Amino acid sequence: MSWVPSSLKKLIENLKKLPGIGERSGFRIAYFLLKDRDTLENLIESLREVNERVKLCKICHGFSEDTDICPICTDERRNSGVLCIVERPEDVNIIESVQGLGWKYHVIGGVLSPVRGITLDKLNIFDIRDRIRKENIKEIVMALSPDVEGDATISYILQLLSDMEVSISRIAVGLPRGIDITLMDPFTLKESILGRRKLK
Amino acid sequence: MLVDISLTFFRNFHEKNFKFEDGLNFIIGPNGSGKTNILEAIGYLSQAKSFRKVADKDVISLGEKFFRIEGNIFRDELRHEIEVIYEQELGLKKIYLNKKQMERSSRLFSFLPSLISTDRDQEIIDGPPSERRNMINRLISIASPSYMNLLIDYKKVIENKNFLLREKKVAELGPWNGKQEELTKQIVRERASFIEKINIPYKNISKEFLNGKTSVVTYIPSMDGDMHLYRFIDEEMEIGYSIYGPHRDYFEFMIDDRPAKIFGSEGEKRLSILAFFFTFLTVYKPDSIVVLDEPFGVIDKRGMNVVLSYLIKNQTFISAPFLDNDFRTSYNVITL
Repeated sequence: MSWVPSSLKKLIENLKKLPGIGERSGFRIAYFLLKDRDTLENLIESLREVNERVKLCKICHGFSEDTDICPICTDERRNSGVLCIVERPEDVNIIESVQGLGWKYHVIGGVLSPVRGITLDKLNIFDIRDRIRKENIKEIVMALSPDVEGDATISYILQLLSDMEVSISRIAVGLPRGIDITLMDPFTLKESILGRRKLK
Repeated sequence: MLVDISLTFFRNFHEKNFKFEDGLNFIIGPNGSGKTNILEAIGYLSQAKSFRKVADKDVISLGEKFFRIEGNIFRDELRHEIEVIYEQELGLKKIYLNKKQMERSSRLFSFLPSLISTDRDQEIIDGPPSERRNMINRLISIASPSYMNLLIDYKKVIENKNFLLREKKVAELGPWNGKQEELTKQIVRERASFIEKINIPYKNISKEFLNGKTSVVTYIPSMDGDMHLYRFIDEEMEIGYSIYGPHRDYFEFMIDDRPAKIFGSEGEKRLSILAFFFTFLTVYKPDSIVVLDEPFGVIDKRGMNVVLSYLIKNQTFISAPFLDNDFRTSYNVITL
Protein backbone atom coordinates (compact mmCIF):
# COMPACT_ATOMS: atom_id res chain seq x y z
CA MET A 1 0.00 0.00 0.00
CA SER A 2 1.22 3.51 -0.83
CA TRP A 3 2.34 5.88 1.94
CA VAL A 4 -0.45 7.75 3.75
CA PRO A 5 0.32 10.52 6.31
CA SER A 6 -0.32 9.23 9.81
CA SER A 7 -2.60 12.16 10.68
CA LEU A 8 -4.71 11.38 7.63
CA LYS A 9 -4.89 7.72 8.65
CA LYS A 10 -6.05 8.83 12.09
CA LEU A 11 -8.75 11.02 10.53
CA ILE A 12 -9.98 8.11 8.40
CA GLU A 13 -10.08 5.83 11.43
CA ASN A 14 -12.15 8.43 13.33
CA LEU A 15 -14.50 8.95 10.38
CA LYS A 16 -15.08 5.19 10.25
CA LYS A 17 -16.52 5.35 13.76
CA LEU A 18 -19.41 7.44 12.41
CA PRO A 19 -22.67 5.69 11.50
CA GLY A 20 -22.87 4.65 7.85
CA ILE A 21 -19.19 5.40 7.13
CA GLY A 22 -16.99 2.51 6.07
CA GLU A 23 -13.41 2.27 4.80
CA ARG A 24 -14.17 3.59 1.32
CA SER A 25 -16.42 6.50 2.42
CA GLY A 26 -13.87 7.38 5.12
CA PHE A 27 -11.17 7.74 2.45
CA ARG A 28 -13.41 9.79 0.17
CA ILE A 29 -14.44 12.25 2.90
CA ALA A 30 -10.88 12.62 4.22
CA TYR A 31 -9.41 13.31 0.76
CA PHE A 32 -12.26 15.69 -0.07
CA LEU A 33 -11.60 17.70 3.09
CA LEU A 34 -7.90 17.92 2.31
CA LYS A 35 -8.65 19.34 -1.12
CA ASP A 36 -11.27 21.80 0.13
CA ARG A 37 -9.58 23.54 3.07
CA ASP A 38 -12.42 26.08 3.56
CA THR A 39 -14.91 23.31 4.17
CA LEU A 40 -12.38 21.64 6.46
CA GLU A 41 -11.95 24.84 8.51
CA ASN A 42 -15.72 25.34 8.75
CA LEU A 43 -16.19 21.76 9.82
CA ILE A 44 -13.52 22.06 12.51
CA GLU A 45 -15.21 25.20 13.80
CA SER A 46 -18.66 23.57 13.74
CA LEU A 47 -17.43 20.50 15.57
CA ARG A 48 -15.75 22.64 18.23
CA GLU A 49 -18.83 24.84 18.59
CA VAL A 50 -21.30 21.98 18.86
CA ASN A 51 -19.05 20.27 21.38
CA GLU A 52 -18.85 23.39 23.56
CA ARG A 53 -22.39 24.68 23.27
CA VAL A 54 -24.73 21.72 22.96
CA LYS A 55 -25.45 19.79 26.14
CA LEU A 56 -28.25 17.75 27.57
CA CYS A 57 -31.14 19.54 29.28
CA LYS A 58 -31.26 18.86 33.00
CA ILE A 59 -35.04 18.43 32.95
CA CYS A 60 -35.92 16.53 29.77
CA HIS A 61 -32.44 15.18 28.79
CA GLY A 62 -32.97 16.48 25.24
CA PHE A 63 -30.56 18.93 23.60
CA SER A 64 -30.06 22.42 24.96
CA GLU A 65 -27.67 25.12 23.82
CA ASP A 66 -25.55 27.21 26.21
CA THR A 67 -28.06 26.72 29.02
CA ASP A 68 -28.79 23.91 31.48
CA ILE A 69 -32.47 23.94 30.57
CA CYS A 70 -33.66 23.72 26.95
CA PRO A 71 -36.12 26.20 25.36
CA ILE A 72 -38.85 23.55 25.22
CA CYS A 73 -38.77 23.04 29.00
CA THR A 74 -38.78 26.81 29.66
CA ASP A 75 -41.54 27.53 27.14
CA GLU A 76 -44.56 28.54 29.25
CA ARG A 77 -46.92 28.13 26.29
CA ARG A 78 -46.36 24.41 26.44
CA ASN A 79 -49.08 23.86 28.99
CA SER A 80 -51.18 21.16 27.32
CA GLY A 81 -50.29 18.80 30.17
CA VAL A 82 -48.90 16.20 27.73
CA LEU A 83 -45.47 14.66 28.27
CA CYS A 84 -44.11 12.64 25.36
CA ILE A 85 -41.51 10.01 26.24
CA VAL A 86 -38.90 9.31 23.56
CA GLU A 87 -35.68 7.28 23.32
CA ARG A 88 -33.15 9.75 21.91
CA PRO A 89 -32.74 13.55 21.86
CA GLU A 90 -33.12 13.60 18.08
CA ASP A 91 -36.55 11.93 18.42
CA VAL A 92 -37.84 15.18 19.99
CA ASN A 93 -37.31 17.02 16.70
CA ILE A 94 -39.01 14.27 14.74
CA ILE A 95 -42.14 14.36 16.92
CA GLU A 96 -42.03 18.17 17.07
CA SER A 97 -42.00 18.34 13.27
CA VAL A 98 -45.31 16.49 12.94
CA GLN A 99 -47.31 17.90 15.80
CA GLY A 100 -47.60 21.37 17.23
CA LEU A 101 -49.75 20.77 20.24
CA GLY A 102 -47.51 22.26 22.86
CA TRP A 103 -46.23 19.00 24.23
CA LYS A 104 -43.29 18.59 26.55
CA TYR A 105 -40.75 15.81 26.17
CA HIS A 106 -38.72 13.40 28.23
CA VAL A 107 -35.74 11.62 26.68
CA ILE A 108 -35.06 8.34 28.45
CA GLY A 109 -31.84 7.64 26.57
CA GLY A 110 -32.64 4.24 25.03
CA VAL A 111 -34.77 1.20 25.71
CA LEU A 112 -34.14 -1.65 28.13
CA SER A 113 -31.79 -4.25 26.71
CA PRO A 114 -29.78 -5.95 29.47
CA VAL A 115 -27.80 -8.05 26.94
CA ARG A 116 -26.53 -4.81 25.37
CA GLY A 117 -25.80 -3.33 28.77
CA ILE A 118 -28.86 -1.08 28.94
CA THR A 119 -30.38 -1.74 32.34
CA LEU A 120 -32.75 0.42 34.39
CA ASP A 121 -29.96 2.48 35.96
CA LYS A 122 -28.83 3.58 32.48
CA LEU A 123 -32.19 5.13 31.60
CA ASN A 124 -33.65 8.49 32.67
CA ILE A 125 -36.93 7.14 33.92
CA PHE A 126 -36.96 7.70 37.64
CA ASP A 127 -37.42 11.49 37.32
CA ILE A 128 -40.63 11.12 35.29
CA ARG A 129 -42.65 10.90 38.52
CA ASP A 130 -41.27 14.25 39.73
CA ARG A 131 -42.06 15.89 36.43
CA ILE A 132 -45.67 14.66 36.50
CA ARG A 133 -46.12 16.21 39.93
CA LYS A 134 -44.27 19.49 39.36
CA GLU A 135 -45.41 20.23 35.82
CA ASN A 136 -49.05 19.21 36.21
CA ILE A 137 -48.80 16.47 33.59
CA LYS A 138 -52.15 14.86 32.78
CA GLU A 139 -51.19 12.60 29.89
CA ILE A 140 -48.13 10.57 28.98
CA VAL A 141 -47.56 9.58 25.34
CA MET A 142 -44.98 6.85 24.83
CA ALA A 143 -43.17 7.20 21.51
CA LEU A 144 -40.76 4.28 21.86
CA SER A 145 -39.72 1.65 19.32
CA PRO A 146 -42.45 -0.90 18.57
CA ASP A 147 -40.31 -3.92 19.45
CA VAL A 148 -39.68 -6.24 22.41
CA GLU A 149 -37.23 -3.87 24.11
CA GLY A 150 -39.64 -0.94 23.64
CA ASP A 151 -42.50 -3.04 25.03
CA ALA A 152 -40.46 -4.08 28.10
CA THR A 153 -39.48 -0.45 28.76
CA ILE A 154 -43.07 0.72 28.47
CA SER A 155 -44.20 -2.03 30.78
CA TYR A 156 -41.65 -0.92 33.39
CA ILE A 157 -42.68 2.74 33.11
CA LEU A 158 -46.35 1.71 33.50
CA GLN A 159 -45.43 -0.12 36.69
CA LEU A 160 -43.44 2.90 37.90
CA LEU A 161 -46.40 5.24 37.35
CA SER A 162 -49.14 2.83 38.42
CA ASP A 163 -50.17 4.89 41.47
CA MET A 164 -50.22 8.25 39.68
CA GLU A 165 -53.28 9.92 38.27
CA VAL A 166 -52.16 10.30 34.71
CA SER A 167 -53.49 8.88 31.47
CA ILE A 168 -50.94 6.89 29.48
CA SER A 169 -51.01 6.05 25.76
CA ARG A 170 -48.65 4.70 23.16
CA ILE A 171 -48.26 5.86 19.57
CA ALA A 172 -49.96 3.48 17.12
CA VAL A 173 -48.23 0.60 15.36
CA GLY A 174 -49.44 -0.49 11.95
CA LEU A 175 -49.92 0.37 8.32
CA PRO A 176 -48.01 3.26 6.75
CA ARG A 177 -50.34 5.66 4.96
CA GLY A 178 -50.73 5.00 1.24
CA ILE A 179 -49.51 1.39 1.39
CA ASP A 180 -51.23 -1.35 -0.57
CA ILE A 181 -52.63 -3.65 2.11
CA THR A 182 -51.70 -6.77 0.10
CA LEU A 183 -48.02 -5.84 0.40
CA MET A 184 -48.02 -5.70 4.19
CA ASP A 185 -46.25 -8.35 6.22
CA PRO A 186 -48.75 -10.35 8.31
CA PHE A 187 -47.19 -9.32 11.62
CA THR A 188 -47.63 -5.58 11.05
CA LEU A 189 -51.07 -6.16 9.60
CA LYS A 190 -52.06 -8.06 12.73
CA GLU A 191 -50.73 -5.22 14.92
CA SER A 192 -52.75 -2.69 12.96
CA ILE A 193 -55.90 -4.78 13.32
CA LEU A 194 -55.33 -5.03 17.08
CA GLY A 195 -54.79 -1.26 17.26
CA ARG A 196 -57.76 -0.33 15.04
CA ARG A 197 -59.44 3.04 15.62
CA LYS A 198 -63.15 3.37 16.22
CA LEU A 199 -64.90 5.58 13.67
CA LYS A 200 -68.49 5.40 14.79
CA MET B 1 -41.74 -26.86 -11.84
CA LEU B 2 -37.94 -26.73 -11.89
CA VAL B 3 -37.00 -27.20 -15.56
CA ASP B 4 -33.22 -27.28 -15.24
CA ILE B 5 -30.31 -26.26 -13.05
CA SER B 6 -26.83 -25.02 -13.99
CA LEU B 7 -24.00 -25.29 -11.50
CA THR B 8 -20.72 -23.39 -11.60
CA PHE B 9 -17.99 -24.28 -9.10
CA PHE B 10 -20.56 -25.86 -6.82
CA ARG B 11 -19.10 -28.78 -4.84
CA ASN B 12 -17.73 -31.36 -7.37
CA PHE B 13 -19.45 -29.69 -10.35
CA HIS B 14 -17.29 -27.10 -12.12
CA GLU B 15 -19.68 -26.46 -14.98
CA LYS B 16 -22.69 -28.71 -15.28
CA ASN B 17 -26.33 -28.57 -16.35
CA PHE B 18 -29.12 -30.97 -15.39
CA LYS B 19 -32.59 -31.15 -16.93
CA PHE B 20 -35.60 -32.25 -14.92
CA GLU B 21 -39.14 -33.33 -15.63
CA ASP B 22 -42.43 -32.91 -13.85
CA GLY B 23 -43.17 -35.77 -11.44
CA LEU B 24 -40.42 -38.00 -10.10
CA ASN B 25 -36.74 -37.39 -10.89
CA PHE B 26 -34.25 -39.97 -9.66
CA ILE B 27 -30.58 -39.10 -9.29
CA ILE B 28 -28.59 -42.31 -9.32
CA GLY B 29 -24.89 -42.84 -8.84
CA PRO B 30 -22.19 -44.40 -6.70
CA ASN B 31 -21.04 -42.91 -3.40
CA GLY B 32 -19.18 -39.63 -3.84
CA SER B 33 -20.54 -38.99 -7.35
CA GLY B 34 -22.43 -35.86 -6.21
CA LYS B 35 -26.07 -36.99 -5.92
CA THR B 36 -26.68 -35.08 -2.68
CA ASN B 37 -24.79 -32.08 -4.12
CA ILE B 38 -27.43 -31.73 -6.85
CA LEU B 39 -30.20 -31.93 -4.26
CA GLU B 40 -28.34 -29.39 -2.12
CA ALA B 41 -28.18 -27.00 -5.10
CA ILE B 42 -31.93 -27.46 -5.72
CA GLY B 43 -32.44 -26.64 -2.02
CA TYR B 44 -30.46 -23.41 -2.50
CA LEU B 45 -32.94 -22.27 -5.16
CA SER B 46 -35.72 -22.44 -2.59
CA GLN B 47 -34.13 -21.78 0.79
CA ALA B 48 -30.98 -19.85 -0.21
CA LYS B 49 -28.85 -22.05 2.04
CA SER B 50 -27.49 -25.56 2.35
CA PHE B 51 -29.74 -28.14 3.96
CA ARG B 52 -26.57 -29.87 5.18
CA LYS B 53 -26.09 -26.98 7.60
CA VAL B 54 -22.72 -25.94 6.15
CA ALA B 55 -21.50 -22.41 5.42
CA ASP B 56 -21.81 -21.01 1.89
CA LYS B 57 -18.04 -20.81 1.51
CA ASP B 58 -17.74 -24.56 2.09
CA VAL B 59 -19.78 -25.53 -0.94
CA ILE B 60 -17.45 -23.72 -3.38
CA SER B 61 -15.37 -26.15 -5.49
CA LEU B 62 -11.87 -26.63 -4.13
CA GLY B 63 -9.52 -23.80 -5.18
CA GLU B 64 -12.31 -21.60 -6.62
CA LYS B 65 -13.59 -18.26 -5.31
CA PHE B 66 -17.32 -18.34 -5.99
CA PHE B 67 -20.23 -20.59 -6.83
CA ARG B 68 -23.26 -19.95 -8.97
CA ILE B 69 -26.54 -21.87 -9.18
CA GLU B 70 -29.03 -20.98 -11.88
CA GLY B 71 -32.43 -22.58 -12.16
CA ASN B 72 -35.25 -22.14 -14.64
CA ILE B 73 -38.70 -22.44 -13.14
CA PHE B 74 -41.96 -22.86 -15.02
CA ARG B 75 -44.75 -21.29 -12.98
CA ASP B 76 -48.09 -19.69 -13.81
CA GLU B 77 -47.43 -20.53 -17.47
CA LEU B 78 -44.31 -18.37 -17.44
CA ARG B 79 -40.62 -19.15 -17.33
CA HIS B 80 -38.68 -17.59 -14.44
CA GLU B 81 -35.00 -17.65 -13.61
CA ILE B 82 -33.50 -17.88 -10.12
CA GLU B 83 -29.81 -17.25 -9.63
CA VAL B 84 -27.84 -17.68 -6.40
CA ILE B 85 -24.25 -16.42 -6.38
CA TYR B 86 -21.81 -16.47 -3.50
CA GLU B 87 -18.44 -14.71 -3.62
CA GLN B 88 -16.01 -15.85 -0.97
CA GLU B 89 -13.82 -12.73 -1.01
CA LEU B 90 -16.74 -10.43 -0.25
CA GLY B 91 -18.50 -13.02 1.90
CA LEU B 92 -21.58 -11.97 0.00
CA LYS B 93 -24.52 -13.99 -1.30
CA LYS B 94 -26.73 -12.47 -3.96
CA ILE B 95 -30.05 -13.82 -5.10
CA TYR B 96 -31.71 -12.79 -8.34
CA LEU B 97 -35.21 -13.52 -9.54
CA ASN B 98 -35.52 -12.82 -13.26
CA LYS B 99 -32.25 -10.81 -13.12
CA LYS B 100 -33.61 -8.57 -10.35
CA GLN B 101 -31.83 -8.77 -7.01
CA MET B 102 -34.00 -9.97 -4.12
CA GLU B 103 -33.70 -7.98 -0.89
CA ARG B 104 -34.78 -10.79 1.40
CA SER B 105 -33.75 -14.38 0.77
CA SER B 106 -36.80 -15.61 2.69
CA ARG B 107 -38.96 -14.42 -0.22
CA LEU B 108 -37.36 -17.10 -2.38
CA PHE B 109 -39.15 -19.76 -0.40
CA SER B 110 -42.59 -18.38 -1.19
CA PHE B 111 -41.65 -18.34 -4.87
CA LEU B 112 -40.36 -21.93 -4.89
CA PRO B 113 -41.59 -23.70 -1.73
CA SER B 114 -39.80 -26.93 -0.95
CA LEU B 115 -39.93 -29.85 1.40
CA ILE B 116 -36.53 -31.35 2.05
CA SER B 117 -35.99 -34.61 3.88
CA THR B 118 -32.63 -36.26 4.51
CA ASP B 119 -31.47 -39.25 6.54
CA ARG B 120 -30.61 -36.79 9.31
CA ASP B 121 -34.34 -36.31 9.85
CA GLN B 122 -34.31 -39.41 12.02
CA GLU B 123 -32.71 -37.12 14.62
CA ILE B 124 -36.09 -35.37 14.80
CA ILE B 125 -37.44 -38.46 16.53
CA ASP B 126 -34.28 -39.79 18.19
CA GLY B 127 -32.65 -36.48 19.13
CA PRO B 128 -33.28 -34.06 22.00
CA PRO B 129 -36.62 -32.16 22.28
CA SER B 130 -35.03 -29.11 20.62
CA GLU B 131 -34.82 -31.06 17.31
CA ARG B 132 -38.59 -31.54 17.30
CA ARG B 133 -39.28 -27.98 18.46
CA ASN B 134 -37.08 -26.61 15.65
CA MET B 135 -38.81 -28.74 13.04
CA ILE B 136 -42.28 -27.74 14.28
CA ASN B 137 -41.21 -24.07 14.41
CA ARG B 138 -39.96 -24.28 10.83
CA LEU B 139 -43.21 -25.78 9.58
CA ILE B 140 -45.49 -23.37 11.49
CA SER B 141 -43.43 -20.45 10.15
CA ILE B 142 -44.14 -21.68 6.62
CA ALA B 143 -47.84 -22.08 7.37
CA SER B 144 -48.16 -18.82 9.30
CA PRO B 145 -45.38 -16.28 8.52
CA SER B 146 -46.20 -14.03 11.51
CA TYR B 147 -45.22 -16.93 13.81
CA MET B 148 -41.57 -16.34 12.91
CA ASN B 149 -41.81 -12.79 14.35
CA LEU B 150 -43.23 -14.19 17.57
CA LEU B 151 -40.24 -16.54 17.85
CA ILE B 152 -37.75 -13.75 17.15
CA ASP B 153 -39.34 -11.59 19.86
CA TYR B 154 -39.48 -14.51 22.27
CA LYS B 155 -35.78 -15.29 21.72
CA LYS B 156 -34.88 -11.67 22.53
CA VAL B 157 -36.95 -11.79 25.72
CA ILE B 158 -35.26 -14.99 26.89
CA GLU B 159 -31.77 -13.64 26.13
CA ASN B 160 -32.46 -10.52 28.20
CA LYS B 161 -34.16 -12.44 30.97
CA ASN B 162 -31.31 -14.97 31.21
CA PHE B 163 -28.83 -12.11 31.44
CA LEU B 164 -30.74 -10.61 34.38
CA LEU B 165 -31.06 -14.02 36.05
CA ARG B 166 -27.31 -14.58 35.77
CA GLU B 167 -26.65 -11.10 37.17
CA LYS B 168 -29.24 -11.67 39.93
CA LYS B 169 -31.10 -8.45 39.03
CA VAL B 170 -34.53 -9.53 40.31
CA ALA B 171 -35.98 -6.02 40.39
CA GLU B 172 -35.66 -5.74 36.62
CA LEU B 173 -37.22 -9.08 35.71
CA GLY B 174 -40.84 -7.85 35.83
CA PRO B 175 -41.17 -6.39 32.32
CA TRP B 176 -39.41 -9.38 30.71
CA ASN B 177 -41.55 -11.90 32.58
CA GLY B 178 -44.63 -9.95 31.49
CA LYS B 179 -43.54 -9.99 27.86
CA GLN B 180 -42.62 -13.67 28.10
CA GLU B 181 -46.09 -14.52 29.43
CA GLU B 182 -47.75 -12.51 26.66
CA LEU B 183 -45.68 -14.16 23.89
CA THR B 184 -46.03 -17.60 25.49
CA LYS B 185 -49.82 -17.43 25.19
CA GLN B 186 -49.57 -16.62 21.48
CA ILE B 187 -46.90 -19.22 20.70
CA VAL B 188 -48.68 -22.00 22.61
CA ARG B 189 -51.94 -21.13 20.86
CA GLU B 190 -50.27 -21.31 17.42
CA ARG B 191 -48.50 -24.60 18.24
CA ALA B 192 -51.60 -26.24 19.71
CA SER B 193 -53.74 -25.21 16.76
CA PHE B 194 -51.11 -26.46 14.27
CA ILE B 195 -50.80 -29.86 15.97
CA GLU B 196 -54.56 -30.21 16.24
CA LYS B 197 -55.04 -29.36 12.57
CA ILE B 198 -52.31 -31.67 11.29
CA ASN B 199 -52.90 -34.70 13.53
CA ILE B 200 -56.19 -35.79 11.94
CA PRO B 201 -54.85 -36.14 8.37
CA TYR B 202 -51.49 -37.31 9.76
CA LYS B 203 -53.17 -40.25 11.43
CA ASN B 204 -54.71 -41.31 8.12
CA ILE B 205 -51.61 -40.81 6.01
CA SER B 206 -49.31 -42.50 8.52
CA LYS B 207 -51.66 -45.50 8.57
CA GLU B 208 -50.84 -46.10 4.92
CA PHE B 209 -47.15 -45.43 5.40
CA LEU B 210 -46.84 -47.68 8.46
CA ASN B 211 -48.94 -50.51 7.08
CA GLY B 212 -51.84 -50.13 9.53
CA LYS B 213 -50.09 -48.52 12.50
CA THR B 214 -50.88 -44.87 13.17
CA SER B 215 -48.70 -41.93 14.13
CA VAL B 216 -49.57 -38.72 15.91
CA VAL B 217 -47.54 -35.89 17.44
CA THR B 218 -48.28 -35.01 21.04
CA TYR B 219 -47.69 -31.51 22.36
CA ILE B 220 -46.99 -30.74 26.01
CA PRO B 221 -46.43 -27.02 26.69
CA SER B 222 -43.95 -26.30 29.46
CA MET B 223 -46.36 -23.81 31.01
CA ASP B 224 -50.05 -23.12 30.47
CA GLY B 225 -51.51 -19.75 29.65
CA ASP B 226 -52.54 -18.95 33.22
CA MET B 227 -49.18 -19.54 34.85
CA HIS B 228 -47.36 -16.52 36.25
CA LEU B 229 -43.61 -16.57 35.96
CA TYR B 230 -42.95 -14.51 39.08
CA ARG B 231 -43.78 -17.69 41.05
CA PHE B 232 -40.64 -19.31 39.66
CA ILE B 233 -38.21 -16.42 40.14
CA ASP B 234 -36.33 -18.11 43.01
CA GLU B 235 -36.07 -21.39 41.11
CA GLU B 236 -34.92 -19.69 37.91
CA MET B 237 -32.51 -17.43 39.76
CA GLU B 238 -30.83 -20.41 41.38
CA ILE B 239 -30.32 -22.15 38.04
CA GLY B 240 -29.40 -18.89 36.30
CA TYR B 241 -31.64 -19.21 33.25
CA SER B 242 -35.27 -19.39 32.25
CA ILE B 243 -36.70 -22.90 32.64
CA TYR B 244 -40.39 -22.44 31.76
CA GLY B 245 -41.93 -21.39 28.49
CA PRO B 246 -42.14 -22.35 24.80
CA HIS B 247 -38.36 -22.82 24.62
CA ARG B 248 -38.90 -25.87 26.84
CA ASP B 249 -42.09 -27.19 25.21
CA TYR B 250 -42.19 -30.87 24.41
CA PHE B 251 -43.26 -32.63 21.22
CA GLU B 252 -43.24 -36.38 20.83
CA PHE B 253 -43.85 -38.67 17.83
CA MET B 254 -46.05 -41.57 18.84
CA ILE B 255 -46.69 -44.79 16.89
CA ASP B 256 -49.79 -46.63 18.09
CA ASP B 257 -49.76 -44.52 21.27
CA ARG B 258 -46.17 -45.45 22.19
CA PRO B 259 -43.15 -43.16 21.79
CA ALA B 260 -41.60 -43.80 18.34
CA LYS B 261 -38.21 -42.92 19.81
CA ILE B 262 -38.26 -46.06 21.99
CA PHE B 263 -40.56 -48.50 20.23
CA GLY B 264 -40.31 -47.62 16.53
CA SER B 265 -38.01 -49.47 14.11
CA GLU B 266 -35.58 -47.36 12.06
CA GLY B 267 -37.79 -47.80 8.99
CA GLU B 268 -40.92 -46.83 10.92
CA LYS B 269 -39.24 -43.68 12.25
CA ARG B 270 -38.22 -42.52 8.77
CA LEU B 271 -41.69 -43.33 7.41
CA SER B 272 -43.33 -41.47 10.33
CA ILE B 273 -41.31 -38.37 9.53
CA LEU B 274 -41.97 -38.63 5.81
CA ALA B 275 -45.70 -39.12 6.48
CA PHE B 276 -45.63 -36.02 8.72
CA PHE B 277 -43.93 -33.95 6.01
CA PHE B 278 -46.34 -35.19 3.34
CA THR B 279 -49.29 -34.37 5.58
CA PHE B 280 -47.94 -30.87 6.01
CA LEU B 281 -47.51 -30.63 2.26
CA THR B 282 -51.06 -31.75 1.63
CA VAL B 283 -52.56 -29.35 4.16
CA TYR B 284 -50.39 -26.25 3.75
CA LYS B 285 -48.13 -26.26 0.68
CA PRO B 286 -49.45 -28.55 -2.02
CA ASP B 287 -47.39 -26.76 -4.71
CA SER B 288 -43.97 -27.47 -3.12
CA ILE B 289 -41.17 -29.32 -4.78
CA VAL B 290 -39.99 -32.33 -2.75
CA VAL B 291 -36.34 -33.23 -2.19
CA LEU B 292 -35.57 -36.61 -0.65
CA ASP B 293 -31.96 -37.53 0.01
CA GLU B 294 -31.40 -41.29 0.10
CA PRO B 295 -34.84 -42.04 1.56
CA PHE B 296 -34.83 -45.77 0.92
CA GLY B 297 -31.87 -46.85 3.02
CA VAL B 298 -34.05 -48.14 5.85
CA ILE B 299 -37.42 -48.45 4.08
CA ASP B 300 -38.69 -51.70 2.56
CA LYS B 301 -40.17 -52.00 -0.94
CA ARG B 302 -43.77 -51.64 0.29
CA GLY B 303 -42.89 -48.45 2.13
CA MET B 304 -41.04 -47.18 -0.92
CA ASN B 305 -44.10 -47.74 -3.14
CA VAL B 306 -46.35 -45.89 -0.66
CA VAL B 307 -43.94 -42.93 -0.51
CA LEU B 308 -43.76 -42.78 -4.31
CA SER B 309 -47.53 -42.98 -4.66
CA TYR B 310 -47.79 -39.82 -2.55
CA LEU B 311 -45.44 -37.94 -4.79
CA ILE B 312 -47.42 -38.08 -8.01
CA LYS B 313 -48.68 -34.52 -7.71
CA ASN B 314 -45.39 -32.88 -6.71
CA GLN B 315 -42.20 -32.48 -8.67
CA THR B 316 -39.81 -34.63 -6.68
CA PHE B 317 -36.06 -35.20 -6.63
CA ILE B 318 -34.80 -38.39 -5.05
CA SER B 319 -31.22 -39.55 -4.68
CA ALA B 320 -30.41 -43.25 -4.48
CA PRO B 321 -27.32 -45.42 -5.05
CA PHE B 322 -29.21 -47.66 -7.48
CA LEU B 323 -32.72 -48.22 -8.83
CA ASP B 324 -34.83 -51.24 -9.75
CA ASN B 325 -35.39 -51.71 -13.47
CA ASP B 326 -39.18 -51.31 -13.19
CA PHE B 327 -38.68 -47.76 -11.83
CA ARG B 328 -36.16 -46.85 -14.53
CA THR B 329 -38.74 -46.99 -17.28
CA SER B 330 -41.42 -45.01 -15.39
CA TYR B 331 -39.50 -41.98 -14.18
CA ASN B 332 -36.85 -39.49 -15.26
CA VAL B 333 -33.48 -40.88 -14.20
CA ILE B 334 -30.23 -38.90 -14.06
CA THR B 335 -27.25 -41.21 -13.80
CA LEU B 336 -23.96 -39.81 -12.52
